Amino acid sequence: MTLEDKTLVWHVNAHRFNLQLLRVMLNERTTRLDFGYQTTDYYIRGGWINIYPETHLVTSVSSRKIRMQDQQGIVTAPDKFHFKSRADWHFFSLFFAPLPVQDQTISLVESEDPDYTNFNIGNIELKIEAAFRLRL
Amino acid sequence: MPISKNAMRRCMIIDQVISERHYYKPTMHRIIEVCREQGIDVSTETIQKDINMMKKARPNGFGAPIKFDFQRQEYQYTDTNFTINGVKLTPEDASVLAESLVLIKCMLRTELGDKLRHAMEKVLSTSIEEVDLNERYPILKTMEPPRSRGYEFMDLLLDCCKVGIPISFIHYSYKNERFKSIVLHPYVVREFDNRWYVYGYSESHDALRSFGLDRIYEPIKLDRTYRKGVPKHILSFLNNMYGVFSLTNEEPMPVVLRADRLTTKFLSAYPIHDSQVVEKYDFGTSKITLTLIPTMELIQLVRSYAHGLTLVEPNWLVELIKNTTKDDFRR
Repeated sequence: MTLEDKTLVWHVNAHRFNLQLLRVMLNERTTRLDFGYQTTDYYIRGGWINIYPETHLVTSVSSRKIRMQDQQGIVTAPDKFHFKSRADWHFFSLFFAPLPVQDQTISLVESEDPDYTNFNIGNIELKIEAAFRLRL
Repeated sequence: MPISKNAMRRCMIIDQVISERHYYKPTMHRIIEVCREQGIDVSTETIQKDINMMKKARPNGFGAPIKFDFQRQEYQYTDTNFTINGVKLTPEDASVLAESLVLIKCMLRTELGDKLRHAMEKVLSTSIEEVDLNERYPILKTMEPPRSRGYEFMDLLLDCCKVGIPISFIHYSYKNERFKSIVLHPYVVREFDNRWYVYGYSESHDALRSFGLDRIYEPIKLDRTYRKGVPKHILSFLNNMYGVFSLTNEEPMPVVLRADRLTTKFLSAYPIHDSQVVEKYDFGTSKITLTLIPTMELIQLVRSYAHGLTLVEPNWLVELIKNTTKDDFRR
């Protein structure tokens, strides 16, 4: 199967603590992941977020690491995006090289040796049949 | 380079004098005379420059086919139908259009609104002089809240409603503090209380829903069969509700309120809804009956009047308010 000019869109609801992965978009040029982040009471003024530049995707159909190419709405470490309150929220997107176009399970890996603050989310199921198609 | 306000006024006079050739001989003397009648002190040289400018092609001039007839010693248009007023507008027409522009600027701050505004300004530019915004103030002013978040999606949403295209977007709930992916078949975009909402069938909720544009992220069009709306439901959403977030899916029902003297006066002047009926009592208090679908916004409105306005019926709504906190009805 080829993507041609089509972009596949999956609505997902995977999360790790207060980070939510909401949508995955795939076309022949890029893989885009949309996230929502809600601050909690744990940190004063909501704390901060950033993303490691070495963040990548791992897919069940290839041993290749799919590197992050770009990001929107979030900064890469060591820079930080600081929240102003414990009730703040933030929407951001990460862009990776294109995934293979087939049924697969992917994982977001920010750190190979993660602690509870890292944005690692596993077992995100992407089935071609379940995908919406973007209208150009 | 734009034509200055004064030059525009002189050009209008020149055009008027040449067009009224049947009444007065369109000479330089006549042009200067009309200018003076209108409080413009002008020299022959200035009028000559204005005529040369008018002859230039647009946008530097008006492409006016002005010719000086030496035999008759008068100015004339070689095309007798020509006028720089492409559309003949009376001063009243121009005034109405200028006022409408204010409304359009306030109410249609979208690409569509911009196009309409530009089109109207073009019409106006051929009929009245350039408006110097630094010297004028609007005589009609509506509330103009700062542009809110999400307004940038307005054109996309209007297009999807018009053509019938489902959309995918991320929605953030202020109340639940959670994000959610939504597939919506949008029907209408509606403003209420200076806030904008898109209403349609949400696949994610399997129900008709409204979403505040300020809470929407990254809407995209989907290549997917569009589920058409039922006109009755859409009209009910538009006409039978005060606000956008209904508390019931039922048909419109009587909602009875009791208002004190002061609130009765305000609500008589500014009815809550088209269905409002005010039954006044001897001391100036009143029973106000509305026939609509109860909404969160209606509850907020009642609460905003504190003791001045009390909900009497339906009982389930009275109980609901008693058993909930103020924040439960925040949009």
